[in-house]
Amino acid sequence: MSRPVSTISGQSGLSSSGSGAPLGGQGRSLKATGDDIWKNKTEKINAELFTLTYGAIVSQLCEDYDRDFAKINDQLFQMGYNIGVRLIEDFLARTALPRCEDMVRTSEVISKCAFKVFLNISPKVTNWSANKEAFSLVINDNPLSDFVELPMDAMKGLWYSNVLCGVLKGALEMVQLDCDVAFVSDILRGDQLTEIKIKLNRVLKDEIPIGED
Amino acid sequence: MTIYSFWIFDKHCNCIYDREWTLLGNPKSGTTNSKQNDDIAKLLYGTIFSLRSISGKLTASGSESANEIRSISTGKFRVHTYCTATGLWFILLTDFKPINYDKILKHIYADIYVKYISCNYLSPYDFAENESEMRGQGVRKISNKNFMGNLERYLETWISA
Amino acid sequence: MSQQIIQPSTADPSVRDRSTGYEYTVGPKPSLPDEHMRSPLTSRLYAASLAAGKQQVSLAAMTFLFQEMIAYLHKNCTSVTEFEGRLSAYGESIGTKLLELLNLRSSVAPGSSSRTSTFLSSSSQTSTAAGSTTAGSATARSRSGTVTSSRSGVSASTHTGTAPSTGPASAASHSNGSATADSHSHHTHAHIHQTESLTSQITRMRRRDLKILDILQFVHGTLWSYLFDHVSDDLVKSSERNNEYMIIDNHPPLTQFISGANNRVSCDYFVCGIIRGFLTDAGFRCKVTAHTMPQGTFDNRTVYLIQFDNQVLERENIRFGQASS
Repeated sequence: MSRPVSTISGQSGLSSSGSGAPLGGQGRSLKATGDDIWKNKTEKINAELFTLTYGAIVSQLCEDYDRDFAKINDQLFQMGYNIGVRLIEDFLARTALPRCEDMVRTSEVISKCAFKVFLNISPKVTNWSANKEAFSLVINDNPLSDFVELPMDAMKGLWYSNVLCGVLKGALEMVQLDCDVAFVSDILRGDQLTEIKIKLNRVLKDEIPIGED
Repeated sequence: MTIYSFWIFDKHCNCIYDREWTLLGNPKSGTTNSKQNDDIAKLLYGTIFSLRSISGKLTASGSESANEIRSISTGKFRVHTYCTATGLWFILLTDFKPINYDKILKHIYADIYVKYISCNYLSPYDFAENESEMRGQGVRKISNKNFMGNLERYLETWISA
Repeated sequence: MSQQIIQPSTADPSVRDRSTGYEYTVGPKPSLPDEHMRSPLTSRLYAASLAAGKQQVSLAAMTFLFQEMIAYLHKNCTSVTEFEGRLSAYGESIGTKLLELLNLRSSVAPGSSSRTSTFLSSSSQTSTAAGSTTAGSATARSRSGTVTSSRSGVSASTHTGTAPSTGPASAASHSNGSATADSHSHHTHAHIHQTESLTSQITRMRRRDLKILDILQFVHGTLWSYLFDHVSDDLVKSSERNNEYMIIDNHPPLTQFISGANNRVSCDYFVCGIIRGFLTDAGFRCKVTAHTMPQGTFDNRTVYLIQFDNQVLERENIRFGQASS
């Protein structure tokens, strides 16, 4: 099994640093990048099929784990993690973005590029911590949870879209950002917002060959 | 143009793929993942590693874009590099013909490596299985047939061009 | 055999027995002790329109999810047969939901008689009928048979009445013959309280398909366009066996990145499941299997072989004479 998108050979436009600011820290160009890739270089599929497939997965997990929602959350997270560590390469191949210099930039890339390119949504970045190392993503139109109503017993324990946290965790780790990613609230549980918190623990050091240090 | 060799390093400083062409203009010649290249791989990695850290140090701090090594020239050949944010390095040794190697390397990454390795669940996404295989001590190589086949086919057109 | 000729659409035990948590003689059971004390959550779900928005996600996202689903099954299954069966079960749960949904959407004027996917373009109103109109949600809750509520992914406790209730609902619209306003509301009761309801656009409910060929056309055209944005590449009747039909996709989108013909075909059982769930719930019991048959440049060409139960053929013979055989 392999990469979901047919060849996107001409990404050169994105990295051609000669033309103006090289994808500078401005949100505008990231947004344009995300929009352009979504519009012109992405194969697409019916979002409802995606939603229903995810629903089938979660409901099957509920059965397999006998409605032990803590375990189901973990399993969804793990599935997401497995996706994230691979999805990041797909994302980089499409966007040709370099590493981000700080979390502010990271948050922009996640919201305006990553979510846009894969799910065609752009979550709002908010709730910054004072040291600018933790923030929240507020998702308004989560395609995973369309048509979903949680049964009463699941409302307390289940983070229905927990796969997203796993994806973010796995993907960020691959670019050396060790983060905690978790849901804070979910409208499926009766909350006002669907909010994911991302907190940077540390920036992992690039390895150096033995003997070089 | 002539391509002498092609290398991939992962973020653990390990060479996970090497391909050397020995007969000029013959895309079928040479070796793949050869043991004999181990030392050369280490030296090549070290050279680029050092240049990267120097270029990083010499770049004024606070500048927006990183100062990446793109190519290195010697009297006989040129080394082209492409590094991804996930720490993969793609390296080509070629002659001096002015060709956009950046594009070639990017293609190898985006359309061959990502397609047949990253998104392939049967292939590892990390080639070091434990701590003792990190920091340049890894032994695992890419052996995926689809990857190798497609890479050969793609580079063939450039070698014989 | 004969007593099964006219069967309720839920006669398939595998569909019927799947519901958990709902015992129809008792009614919905509270799953938390204080559940009756709580005020029901006003879910936006019931205020959203069923009209098709043209929402899309990237094929990449879908494929990553699909891969993970396969990897999960792969870990937990011991044989290929078990793997294919369980993957198919995922699909079936989706297929049963799509039957009602696509029937409803296909009823939206204009051109509801056309088999092609008019619903895809009729996105004049999207699901932005946001939470303002929640008046009907309490009523909606009690109607577990509506398409919306049954699509909830984990609605294991009170809403899994899908299978039992879709049958009577579509049977009703059939036996009434003329699709009166009454029989619409049977389907869409939950939505009559809101102005943006899909019902207002439906002047004539699409009839339930009774003939094998009709329902297959619906799968080949509407279902395929809905899922994959194109009609399937061919619909063929077997020349050897009366009960066999084939739906052909030259380039199955979901499994296109899976290497090895055998692996790929096993993963195609997800789509088999969707077809089977769809047909079985429509009253056409069948078995669906996937086969790889490369042709020309289409290396991934897949044939979905549908084998109807004999009772389906018998019923068709009785009702429509020789026309079908």
